[in-house]
Amino acid sequence: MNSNVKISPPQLIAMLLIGDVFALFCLRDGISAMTALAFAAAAALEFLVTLPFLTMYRGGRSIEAAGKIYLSVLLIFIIIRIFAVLSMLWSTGEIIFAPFAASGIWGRILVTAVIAAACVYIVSKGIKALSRACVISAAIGALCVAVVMISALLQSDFDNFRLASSEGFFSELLRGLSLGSGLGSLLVFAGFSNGKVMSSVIWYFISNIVITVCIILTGVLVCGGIMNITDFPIAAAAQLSQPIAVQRIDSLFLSVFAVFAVFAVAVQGSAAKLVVKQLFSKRSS
Amino acid sequence: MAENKMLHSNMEENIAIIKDISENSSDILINRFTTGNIKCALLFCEGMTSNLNACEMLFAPLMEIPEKDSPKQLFDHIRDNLLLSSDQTKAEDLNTLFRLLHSGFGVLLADGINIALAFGIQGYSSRSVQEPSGEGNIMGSHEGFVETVRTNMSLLRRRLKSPKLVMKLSVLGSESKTDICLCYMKDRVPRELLRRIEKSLNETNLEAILSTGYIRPFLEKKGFELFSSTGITERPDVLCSKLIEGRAAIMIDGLPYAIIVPRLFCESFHTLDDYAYKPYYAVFIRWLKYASFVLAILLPAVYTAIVMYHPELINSTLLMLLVEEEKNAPLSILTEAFLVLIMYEVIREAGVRLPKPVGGAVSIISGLIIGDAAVKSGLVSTPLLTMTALSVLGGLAIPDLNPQITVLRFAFLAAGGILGLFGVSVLACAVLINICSTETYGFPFTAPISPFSARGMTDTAIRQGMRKLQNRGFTVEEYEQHN
Repeated sequence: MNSNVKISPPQLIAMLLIGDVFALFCLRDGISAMTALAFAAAAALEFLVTLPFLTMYRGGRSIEAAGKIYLSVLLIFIIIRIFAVLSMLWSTGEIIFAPFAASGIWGRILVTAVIAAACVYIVSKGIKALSRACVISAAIGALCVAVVMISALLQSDFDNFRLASSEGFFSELLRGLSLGSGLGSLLVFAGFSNGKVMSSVIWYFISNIVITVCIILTGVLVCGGIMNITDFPIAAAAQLSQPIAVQRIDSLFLSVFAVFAVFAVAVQGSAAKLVVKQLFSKRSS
Repeated sequence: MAENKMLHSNMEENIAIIKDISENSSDILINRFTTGNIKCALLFCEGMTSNLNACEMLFAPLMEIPEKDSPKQLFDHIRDNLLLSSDQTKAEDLNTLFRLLHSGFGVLLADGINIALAFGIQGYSSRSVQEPSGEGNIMGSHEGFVETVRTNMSLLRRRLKSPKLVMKLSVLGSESKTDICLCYMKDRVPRELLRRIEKSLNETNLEAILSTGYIRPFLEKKGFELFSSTGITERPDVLCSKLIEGRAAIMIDGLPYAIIVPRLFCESFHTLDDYAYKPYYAVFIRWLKYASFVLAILLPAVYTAIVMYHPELINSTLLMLLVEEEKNAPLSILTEAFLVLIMYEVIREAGVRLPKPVGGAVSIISGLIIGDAAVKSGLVSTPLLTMTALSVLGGLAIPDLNPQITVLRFAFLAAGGILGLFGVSVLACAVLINICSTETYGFPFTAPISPFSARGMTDTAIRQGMRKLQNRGFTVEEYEQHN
């Protein structure tokens, strides 16, 4: 493995945030202000869980310093995450990529296959190219998401605000933990950071919390009134986005969704590739 | 090979071998004479030397040499006491002799010595310095490179009189023996970059260098890259600006272009005019070009995708207009779009290749057939033609990227026509990753956007005023990735 490859903290944060934001886009069922709070708590909990593992990267060490068992567990975690992301794409794709929904299961298979093919190509290009591309995608995506969300807020109503959901705080916390389980890739890529690993990770979690709260609250304010009949509240909020009376801009959300889906899978795929490479090199030595 | 042989001391034997190797080529002229009591011969390549220079600089002084005891004494006298040419060298083997002869040198052989003296008296016809045809500039110089590398070196030296500008000549091409000139500022260019460029050039095994495209692949990373990580320019002023930033350049004899290493993606949108205008206007023009690039590759694809798959995204007035235009079209929008784009490419290529007297006919045919007859007959709809025209104009604003824009336009159109906006987005990801993986000698193509450099963005996202830019002390070494 080329441990000489280094990625900067902004690149690391962008790679991880893309997956988290994509997971938010695919959020199912009702949300409320409590969901935002619970998700923020889940992120904080994840940060505490990763702390002991991050000490491994002290002194400029990378994942090469990790043992086989650790790597194997990491790999399982990443593979589960890949399947989770693909299943989110599978279920949310139906309402996002409406033209393919008419083709039934074959349409969804086509969407997933095209994204998987793009991911294979992206993973083959290596971590340097992926990290650079993630920064650019994240920056443009953030701008587009901000535009969509702000224009969605124009349709919002503070009467839609819901403090608590039917599920308790603990259920929402578990939902947050399952959604934001990109810890595997975090632990892999943290070893490639050329800056201070701890500060990069802290900034990542802070950004994650801020973005999560903003997006969920926007979803609540826009779709609060129709939460009972909305399967995907964030996606629905984006689709209701209409800054100008005569023009919708949810095509922007569609494009961002597709791009984030590709990179969310690609980031996990890259992490898996690195772990497998390291595992096999350890086995042969 | 025979050309690798060393010269003999017997002059007639050398002449016989030269005639044999060149098969008595008619352009090699051999003039035998005696001077200093030594039999000599002057060899020229017809059309390559100046007769006037030959007479004044060589014939007259050589005939006045006093008697010498040996050919070595004769040559020592010529070297030490006569200044026959500003470019004087010697040849010990036939390879070097032929290269000098075919480069416009007059070659002096003498009986009894196994070396030849060569004198630079070039006088071949070459194009005069003119305005570059491919790189327009309003406020800058109107001089462009020409086919003669030494003239190009002088154009560069006139603009950068610093002794730190180094220009190293070498020869490339086993048959063409083309002169190439590696230029750099010795206090700014990263040494590792220079070493790697020289290594790449030494590893080329070409027979002839007839275009920049022969050398550029050896200076770029292996593998498929949509965009070239080396640049070319026809302008000496542009080349100077790149050299000051610590880049290296290669000028090739026979080509009015210089290859610049490394090149960044954002530089395709920069011109020297940007630095002639006020910063606010330069920023406006740059962002116009960025938007033109996006428009050029995406407009037909997005239009096709929205009309075919996402009509709900179009506002009702525009939708009714499009329905009215498209309902009578016999072909699908995707087919129409492909047809129009292919027609444009054929017309563009025909306009470039055909003789100038016939050029006017192309304009008439393209204007009548596409602009008028195709629309009136209903074969092509007006909105689609408008979108395609806008896309083509956008591409013309960035001529440097024209090949890539052309191919990407078709690729995105196919993606949009088959898979809608989803297809366009996924293809955009693939294109983005290809751009981000492009780098040459450790310099990422997407710098200073990613990896981000705030200093670099002062001349990318905006154009800072010259008062601030002059103090930047920027060199391209800041972007170098050491992994």
